[in-house]
Amino acid sequence: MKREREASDRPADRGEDLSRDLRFIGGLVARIQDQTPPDALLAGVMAGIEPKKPSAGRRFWRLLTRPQYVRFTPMGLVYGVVLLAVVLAGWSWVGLPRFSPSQEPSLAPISAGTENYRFTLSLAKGESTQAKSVAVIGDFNNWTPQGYEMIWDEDCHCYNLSLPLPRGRYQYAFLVDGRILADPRALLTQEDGFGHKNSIVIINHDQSREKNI
Amino acid sequence: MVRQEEHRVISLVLDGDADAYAILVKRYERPIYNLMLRMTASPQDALDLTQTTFIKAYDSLERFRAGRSFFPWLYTIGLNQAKDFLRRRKLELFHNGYLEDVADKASVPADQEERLISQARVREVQSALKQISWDYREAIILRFYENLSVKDVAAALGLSLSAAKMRVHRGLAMLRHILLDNGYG
Repeated sequence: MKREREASDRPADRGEDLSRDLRFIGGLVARIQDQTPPDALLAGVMAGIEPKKPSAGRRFWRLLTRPQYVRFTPMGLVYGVVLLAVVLAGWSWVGLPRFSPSQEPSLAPISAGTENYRFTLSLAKGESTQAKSVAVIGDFNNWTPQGYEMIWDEDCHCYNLSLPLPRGRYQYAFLVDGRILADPRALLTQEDGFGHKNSIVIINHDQSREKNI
Repeated sequence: MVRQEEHRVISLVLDGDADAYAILVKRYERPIYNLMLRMTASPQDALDLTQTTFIKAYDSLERFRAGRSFFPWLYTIGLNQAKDFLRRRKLELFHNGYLEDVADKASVPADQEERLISQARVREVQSALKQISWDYREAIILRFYENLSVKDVAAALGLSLSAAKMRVHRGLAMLRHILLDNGYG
């Protein structure tokens, strides 16, 4: 306390003088001498520690961030390429969706612009109905008889089949036990270039009546 | 040591390279050893406490937060080790410390009076440091001798920034009073 009272009376305690003195003393502190530690210090520390085991998180982070080096032999590289090629080939064979043309007849979808057209193959009175298969083939079904078998109607003594057809002009014929027959009722026919005559039907929905020309 | 280099060394140690720790020991053994000398006034106790400090820091290295400076963190561990040691020995915190007056090693021509006066002032400051309590003494040494920022001084002593500034300022003022009382104005 006495020391503090005496200190406060000193002119050097004022403002700038005080700051200057304190900076000066700080500079002197920077120049003090210290002791050199003994050589045995480092050895004593290193003898007291064991290598650390990195944590799982640290090992994973190191795996992600440090360059990794892969060694392989040329033969190993060849095996790898062949294996990859086999896997890719098998994947393309099994995995990718196959496109197989449908064996089923693809009828034109019935849309708002289609109407059923009735194909009729009439037999003369007394004519035999022993045909095993009668079908209609034409533009509208890729000339494929499957699914377009005609149905015998005893009342009209004829084979019938109604198909939804959009507006347009179609060539067609009947296939009777493998033989191609033109529609005897068709007024318009057209050579098919294979020695047969195809019948022509024009579907005109505007007139709401099919025309078999 | 640049902070990035420190963190690289710490990263190596945490990855299992114990030998890398020697780099940090060699870099900071002197200030920690001298801290222990000031606290215990015993070279043997200072040696033991310094080794204990570095070993404890090694064991706690996983808790060292990246981005911080290593020395203030190490210093805090050392200071706590010294205080625990003195508490166990039931010794008073050695106010006088161990600041041996060491003659300036550079040869000085006899006719350079100004340099001699400056050297004498350094010795006086060294002597005055023995007369103030260890908490002010360490704050001054960390700030002016170890050249730490006030922020790092605060971290090392476990103080707020403003408390660290006040500790340094008051410590210097104490030294000044002592020097003035001894006739060094």
